[in-house]
Amino acid sequence: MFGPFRASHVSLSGLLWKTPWKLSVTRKANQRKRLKRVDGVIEAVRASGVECAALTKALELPKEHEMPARDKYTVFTPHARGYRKGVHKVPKFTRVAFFFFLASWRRTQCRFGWSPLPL
Amino acid sequence: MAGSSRLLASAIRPLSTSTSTHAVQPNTSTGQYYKITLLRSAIALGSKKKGTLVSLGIHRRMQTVYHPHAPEFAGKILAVKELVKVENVPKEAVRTKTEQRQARKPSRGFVILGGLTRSETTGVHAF
Repeated sequence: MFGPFRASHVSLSGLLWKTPWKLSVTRKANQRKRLKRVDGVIEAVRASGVECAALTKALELPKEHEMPARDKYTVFTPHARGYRKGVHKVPKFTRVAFFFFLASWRRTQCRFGWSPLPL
Repeated sequence: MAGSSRLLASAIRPLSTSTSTHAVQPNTSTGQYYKITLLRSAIALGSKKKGTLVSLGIHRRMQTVYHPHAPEFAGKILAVKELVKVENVPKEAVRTKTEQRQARKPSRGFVILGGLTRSETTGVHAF
């Protein structure tokens, strides 16, 4: 029961990763930091006075302080109950655009014919 | 509740953007270049993002490059907006790779005032 050779999930099976169900306070803080950094980049490009389609699209994205916690820390999934999963379950979530999450979420919503939020 | 805030946000954003763009337009003379620093690597993010960084002239993390304000560079920056840090800087602040290297170097700790043969510097060498 105790000791170095005790039976546990880790010792009995080979590779076992346990991903927490939700983000910790620290990971959420880091997530907000990353979102703010992206907001800063968009703001800098906007301040440069350049006009382009990419900027128009980027300005439609919600800023960090405008996003509800639901959008900051979770993403849509068709498989989970409640249709949400933690953003940390998305591969490369610290380096890929939130825009894709929102877009895929909206697309799936349309496919499901179910829309709790205005599109 | 969340839905209404999102709707509000999307409704407010174009308004605020248009007003501030007009305010910013005359100030573009102060910053004419993007100072782009790569903070996060594009490893395993796909060839498009990697290619964007290559076309921006960035090939390693923490490297800084300067590009003029132009739609093509704005688009490239926004394509990799999660990886970079961007500042608007005037033309005088633009540094080449060599200049950036020189700026990073520590000071040598001494200053050469002149050659040994010159009579006015002999007093300096005495102490």
